[in-house]
Amino acid sequence: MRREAVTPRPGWQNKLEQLGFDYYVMDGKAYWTEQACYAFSSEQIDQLEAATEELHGMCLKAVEHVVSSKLWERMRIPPAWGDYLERVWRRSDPTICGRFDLAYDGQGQPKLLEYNADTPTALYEAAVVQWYWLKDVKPDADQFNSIHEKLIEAWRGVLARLPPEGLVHFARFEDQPEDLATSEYLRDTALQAGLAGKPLSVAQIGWNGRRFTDPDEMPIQVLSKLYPWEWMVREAFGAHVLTDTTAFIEPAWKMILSNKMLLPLLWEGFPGHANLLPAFDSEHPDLGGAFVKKPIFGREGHNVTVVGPGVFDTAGGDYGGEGFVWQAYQPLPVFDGNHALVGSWVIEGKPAGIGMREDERRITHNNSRFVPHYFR
Amino acid sequence: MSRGIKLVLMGVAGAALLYSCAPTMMGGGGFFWLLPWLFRGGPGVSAPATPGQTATTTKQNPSQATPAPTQSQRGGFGSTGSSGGSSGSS
Repeated sequence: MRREAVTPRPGWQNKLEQLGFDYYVMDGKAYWTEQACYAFSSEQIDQLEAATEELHGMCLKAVEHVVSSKLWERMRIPPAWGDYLERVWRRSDPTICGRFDLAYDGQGQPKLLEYNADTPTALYEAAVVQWYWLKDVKPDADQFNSIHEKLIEAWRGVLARLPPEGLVHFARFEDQPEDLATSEYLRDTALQAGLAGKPLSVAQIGWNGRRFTDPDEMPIQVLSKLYPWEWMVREAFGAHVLTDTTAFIEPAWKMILSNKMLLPLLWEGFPGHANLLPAFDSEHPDLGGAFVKKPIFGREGHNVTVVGPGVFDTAGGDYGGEGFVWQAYQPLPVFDGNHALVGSWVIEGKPAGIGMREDERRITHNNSRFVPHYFR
Repeated sequence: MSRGIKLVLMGVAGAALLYSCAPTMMGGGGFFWLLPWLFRGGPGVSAPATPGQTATTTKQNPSQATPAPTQSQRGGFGSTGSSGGSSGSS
């Protein structure tokens, strides 16, 4: 694993915009860069793929543990949601995607930092944009990337579970370019799978007393939402979800996996596992000399604090009201001053590809640069 | 292995399909989602897009797509993100 300097493609901005990827600059800073790329060996990709599959399998066991033991309080899930959550888990409501964030330096084992299992973004960049970069810049190399085909296949599975003329609504914040692109890309892959898709903003979701509805007062049968479950359960319409008259993608059981309390649960269930870091729901001697404090319901690096000898970094935000977890600190590898993070995609339960992010800071956040990758 | 699979679909049509309307083929069948109202022939759904339609265009099936009689309340989701200035993505 190494970071290579490469020459950007002539007219690369136009190439990105032609793909509909128009948020390559966010908040005045480069979000996409192709002045560099990450190179892996085939063996390293095998290792990432195997670790991703292993981790997802362990996560499913953790969900079963939470559901069967009714650990709602520990997970900060309202107990009133327990029956609904168990029902959607037992009937295997379908999942489309999630993304592990892994610390990996190409030598040791990949280590799980968190699982963005509910509302993952950076999907289009990983599935499509970096693939076109590969074809232009490294045409003789390969890329760990079958995200696009697997998404279509996953939607075909949804199609098979719906009655004829089934429709999926896609809800998102339309003023957030990355969210909009991610949701539209999901909708496009659903269309390619044969489904019908209709977009709306989160605030446009309605409730008519019996059903969730769209702005045309049409009942919402299936809702692909880029809106976190932990927010939904605490908002005015949250209780209506329990009527179980709309199916959600991602399903409600994903709120167990996108919850940082998952990290201590995994460590308890699989102590010492090579792909896990020691994690606890309070400070603990086994954390070692350095640790990361993460809000149970945190996103995009907000309210994360890294503490250790000679090490300190913290990110502000509004999270943490539900408490924190503590995870042993695993430094991200640093290449040319950039802390590199592997985002490993899981589509319909299977490893599907990676997207690399990098940042000058130790804490990866929403605007950390996306950098393409290849392997030989 | 998954990583070795080429993006056949993208190779042909590419991401130019993004934001476009893909042809529709309704297949499958199998078992329906375990939502009770589906078996009751319940509330309406919109038809899938057909070639030439945009993704936002939906066609109502008169036998099924009966709009709800009441005006829905809206805005019951989205307040957390709006107040926190965060999109909720990760």
